[in-house]
Amino acid sequence: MVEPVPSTRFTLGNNRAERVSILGIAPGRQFVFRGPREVADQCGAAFGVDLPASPCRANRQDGRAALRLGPDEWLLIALPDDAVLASLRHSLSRFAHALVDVSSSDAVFEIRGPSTALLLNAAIPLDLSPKTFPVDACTRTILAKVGVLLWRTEQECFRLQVARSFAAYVHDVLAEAAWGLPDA
Amino acid sequence: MLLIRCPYCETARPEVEFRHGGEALMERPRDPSRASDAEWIDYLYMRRNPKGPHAERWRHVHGCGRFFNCLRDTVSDRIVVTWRAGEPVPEVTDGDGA
Ligand SMILES: [Zn+2]
Repeated sequence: MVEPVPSTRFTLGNNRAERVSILGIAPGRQFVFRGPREVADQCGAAFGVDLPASPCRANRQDGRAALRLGPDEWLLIALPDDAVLASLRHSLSRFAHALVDVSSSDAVFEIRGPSTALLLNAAIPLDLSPKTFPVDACTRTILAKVGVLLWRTEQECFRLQVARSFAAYVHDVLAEAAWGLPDA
Repeated sequence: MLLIRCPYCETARPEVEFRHGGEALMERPRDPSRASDAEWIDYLYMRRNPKGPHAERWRHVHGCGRFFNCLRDTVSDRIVVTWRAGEPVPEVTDGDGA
């Protein structure tokens, strides 16, 4: 397993009167599940979180989450010490599906504060208003020049994942954009 | 920037998330071993390149990853309507699309 991204390297801390913070956090255990709806239901039952039927939505329960990324594609997120993979494999062994451990793939940032959506919109041309991108909306999109996974976990908090080699780039783009936030 | 409605994500999304995928509705010869050279050439290389409404394949490459179909006006760049791959061409009413 690859060394985790050191959190401190990517911690900007609170800046500009605590309007936003960018914090590197542990990615946890992550799996991509791909399969038809019937098998997704089996997977949800074994995972303890229903795999969402609506596009670009996340379900959460007891430290686990299931994000729908495409018509037959879900990202399953569990806590770092969660040994759920073995039981998932066992429950799904009779069904045609793909289940891949991607825990070491991405660096994860938690971006928090009242200006978070405004900050992200410096590099993400997506409508992040609470009406079109409410809590538990999630999607892959583009941040500046790289593909990222964005998930609104709270009204003023987003979880942002990016391939590990782009982590420093994404952090620096956001940190620079934070200097341009308007005075409150 | 264009807003394009992804028929799988069911929302209008920024143009930079997409890639163009060439002309849509190209039908592969139904019995390939019996197709003549002329039919293959037609299928592989010949495209309409019209001035006006054009059925195209697009891919939501930085989103759900899916290919879908799109009717775009090549003069105004207006996206008239988008629909899922394999589904019939939707009836176009004014104000559809992105
Ligand atoms: Zn899509």
